[in-house]
Amino acid sequence: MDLTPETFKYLAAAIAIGLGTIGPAIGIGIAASKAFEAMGRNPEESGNIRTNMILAFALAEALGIFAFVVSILLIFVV
Amino acid sequence: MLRNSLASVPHFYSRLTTYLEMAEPTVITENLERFPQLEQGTVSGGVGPADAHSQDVSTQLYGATDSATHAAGHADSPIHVVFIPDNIAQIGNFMISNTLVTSVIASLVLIGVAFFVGRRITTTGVPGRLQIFFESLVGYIHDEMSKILGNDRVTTIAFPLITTLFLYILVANWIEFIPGVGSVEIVKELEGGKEKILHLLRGPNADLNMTLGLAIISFVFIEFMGFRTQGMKYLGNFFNFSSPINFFVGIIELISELARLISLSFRLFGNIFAGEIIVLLAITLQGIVFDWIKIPVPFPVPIMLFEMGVGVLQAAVFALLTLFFVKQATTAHDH
Repeated sequence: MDLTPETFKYLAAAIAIGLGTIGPAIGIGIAASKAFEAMGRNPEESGNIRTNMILAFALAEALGIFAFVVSILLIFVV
Repeated sequence: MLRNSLASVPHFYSRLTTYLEMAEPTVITENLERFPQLEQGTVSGGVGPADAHSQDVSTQLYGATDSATHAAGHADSPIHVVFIPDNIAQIGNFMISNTLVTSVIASLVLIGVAFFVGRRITTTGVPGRLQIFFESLVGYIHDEMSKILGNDRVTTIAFPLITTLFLYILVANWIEFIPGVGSVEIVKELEGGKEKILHLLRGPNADLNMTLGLAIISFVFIEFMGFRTQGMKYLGNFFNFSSPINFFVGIIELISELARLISLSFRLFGNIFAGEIIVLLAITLQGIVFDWIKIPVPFPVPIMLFEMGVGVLQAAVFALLTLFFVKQATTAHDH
């Protein structure tokens, strides 16, 4: 297999999205576990907790989305 | 000329036929004729000028890193990912893309349902089942929204827009699963006897222009609500000259405000576009397995079911985030 600039482009895109989703995944996992814990302790507040949980998900996910943007740029634009 | 490339199977993209044809070596040249842009091996991107619209971006997901077999590698790949939507018609300088057609259809569906239900609503007689269903649905959303916002005046203004955003994104996401969307193709004759295949319909949110448009609507609305409730004091959240620390906090606030445009639009686009590719992969896998054991295995069905769930979730997330940002903008900060 020849190593061309094309190869490194795809490799870089894969690394960007692969490493970039690790952080948000951990963050969303922690947020969800804490939110479910809170819902278990305090079931009547679960509606309120759920909406705030989704907000926290979205904020953590935004960083994963930046990684996605970078890899899309690497594949299609660079 | 219209044709349905895979008439009997309900599906998403019709690459299965392309894959099955590949068993014969003659088809590779046929593919080159069908996708003339592959021959040059050009991969271009970005929101280019008008002439760049005519060539769609095609890339393969695996194989063919060798530059010598680049063109053949494209034709070899059974998966054909289209990043920029096809332009199927043109009025003057205005290109009509397949996602635009589908988004207009989604709007028409919503307007049609609204007219149909609105005609049947009575305020004097006994309400029917339809009226009770829609009134309780709308009432539930309104109550939840006013609980979160905690301000009746803001709720009255924000409720129609946010609910419309939710319903529109939901319909636009689900419209992809109607058979025919993504599979009806237009065969365009180019000069030299070559053909180019364009898709007549495509899910609107798989187009970045669409999601960015929605994000801009939501962004402008959030800023409008901020100025409406707080007046010029709203600018004080971003340009605060009381102390150096507050100044930097304000600048960071401003940047995170602008980053919402990116995160809102790319969240929706990424989820829907990735869903499209995953269904495409499942269809290809189905073709490979069919070739191997000669039994059709419905791989795409559970994945499409999952993608329908993603469609609701992303519609809800978009609407909820707009709601939270409106709440943030309308609640005064005390510094």
